Amino acid sequence: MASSSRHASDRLLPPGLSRAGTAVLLVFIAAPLLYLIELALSPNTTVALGGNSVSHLTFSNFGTMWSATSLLHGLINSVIIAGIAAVLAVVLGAAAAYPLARLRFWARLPLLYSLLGSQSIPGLALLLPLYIMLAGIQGLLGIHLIGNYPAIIAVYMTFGLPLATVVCFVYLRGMPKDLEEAALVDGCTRVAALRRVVAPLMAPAMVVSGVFAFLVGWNDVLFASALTDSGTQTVAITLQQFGLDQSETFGAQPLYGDLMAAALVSSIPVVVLYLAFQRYLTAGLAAGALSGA
Amino acid sequence: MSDEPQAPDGRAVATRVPAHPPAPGPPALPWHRRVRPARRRRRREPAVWLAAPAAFFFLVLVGIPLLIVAWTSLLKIGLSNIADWTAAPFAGLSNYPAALTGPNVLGVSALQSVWISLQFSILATVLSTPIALFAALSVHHKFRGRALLRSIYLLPYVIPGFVIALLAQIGFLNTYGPVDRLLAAAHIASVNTVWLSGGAKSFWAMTITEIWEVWPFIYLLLLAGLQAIPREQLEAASIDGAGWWGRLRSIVLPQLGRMYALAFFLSTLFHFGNFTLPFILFGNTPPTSVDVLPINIYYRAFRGFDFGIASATAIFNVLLLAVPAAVYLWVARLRPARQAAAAVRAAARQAR
Repeated sequence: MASSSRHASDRLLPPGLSRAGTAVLLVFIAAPLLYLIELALSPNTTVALGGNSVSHLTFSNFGTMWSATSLLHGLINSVIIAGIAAVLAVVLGAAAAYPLARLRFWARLPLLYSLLGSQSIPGLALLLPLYIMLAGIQGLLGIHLIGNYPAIIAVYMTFGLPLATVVCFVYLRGMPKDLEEAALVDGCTRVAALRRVVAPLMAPAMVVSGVFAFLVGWNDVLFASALTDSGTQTVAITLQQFGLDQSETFGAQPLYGDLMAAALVSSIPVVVLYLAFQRYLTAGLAAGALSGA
Repeated sequence: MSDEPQAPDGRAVATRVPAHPPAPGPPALPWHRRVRPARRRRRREPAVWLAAPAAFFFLVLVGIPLLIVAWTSLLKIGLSNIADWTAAPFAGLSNYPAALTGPNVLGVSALQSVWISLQFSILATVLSTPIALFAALSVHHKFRGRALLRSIYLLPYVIPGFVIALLAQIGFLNTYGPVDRLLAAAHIASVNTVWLSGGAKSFWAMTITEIWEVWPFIYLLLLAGLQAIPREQLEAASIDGAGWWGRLRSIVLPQLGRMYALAFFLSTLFHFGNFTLPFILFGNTPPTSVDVLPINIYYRAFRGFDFGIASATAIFNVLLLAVPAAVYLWVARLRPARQAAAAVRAAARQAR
């Protein structure tokens, strides 16, 4: 932990305090995570009996969990639902960001403010009417919406939309107009200039918005618990139900090892995405705080 | 609804085009001559329509639902008539007192839930603060391993909430869970301390889990705040002989104040809306002491099947958050998004 003397005044805490505190903090963070890993690597019996199982760790849970839960089904559903929703949110959000940033029209400010303001609407104030609305349409047209892919995808897409639009909007405003104007002068149509010149330059903002929109769908429990069924349930719901089964086994042995192995597997995509895009994401994480559906 | 440049956001949105008068026609750009004849009459910018799909979905899946929930909060809707709820009998405002003071299937009224939610969200924010502040202060200066440490600090925040709730459910098991075994080993509490079946212990189990999970959020904002403090001020203070405590007290903490206010506010709102943690941590029947407002509404609707009263509670929730949300829009404007975009741009430049 050598700090160059030139930046000595950057050091805000004395080294001793800093080191001791960091050690405590690392234990605080690592203990639950190591416990999660230990559980995932322990036979179901040892977990249920609270035994110390470090001596017989096993990877067997990672084999048995697939049959103990419909984990694969949940993972596939999550990838489909969160993935499609994220792609749509980015495409629609980036498309909307362009006129918002470059043109002036009457709906501009109302739209921007609605997008920003929507982030503080409580999720349940949207879930209830969406559920009632879909139930009403089902009753009217005799079609099935609640529990099907399109409804939940459209919902997640819409929740990813505000952040995607706003991030692309702000990014675009900081980008010089010269390039696209040059393309326009050279005879491109506005839409062609957008596709060939603006979109490639906006790629970083679109990637970040896409990751966030994906996480909205992957992490959500509230909307999925009401708007999916056993065929379309996301991995969050698969695990929630599996956890519920284990806490109500009434004497039978709870499959905590399988449960935690499955939980570990379902957090891997999120952690990998985070590590891959970390540089882009840290500030965005803060921005995304209010977009939690 | 006009396109006046001096809209309430003033600085945040309109500064980019201060030179343009609010003319009804589109700005005179060279491409404009090539607008297709069909559009000539309206002299409209076709690219404006790029915002239409987003606006449409937003209207249908956010705008209209908000109107519907306001309407259904005045109706009597149960499981039997939800499919043709438009014909549901009118209940007037009677759903509101029933929501605020009447018990839901868990036996908790909305007002009681608001009180629980407030305690939960403010305690979680306040108790996260020292952890977040220490973490931000200790990784501000450059040292070997800083990037790794910063990554580790964010792990609790990026792991899905449902995973952490499931882990906490096992962690707080009586007799077999590690919390009870540790407490018993340290002779602090009995190994058979029951955490998740009600009372203050359940509330604290939920709050402690929430703190562990979400403290990095405040840390992130404080770290951003630290980066805005000019290094010269700290150097000058060092030259004047100020120690770390002096610099912290007279320079760092005062300048972090504004950012902390924002962090406090956002973090509290974030906790206030957390549904996943109590929903998963306490299984099928959350005890009354953890019946936060989102749980209250969910159980009204999807367990008690009283969609009218649930809608009234949801509207109450919206109104409760409307004031802080308006303050947020006013104070923060686009700041978080602007920071995100700036960071993305900086990182993209570095990567190139």
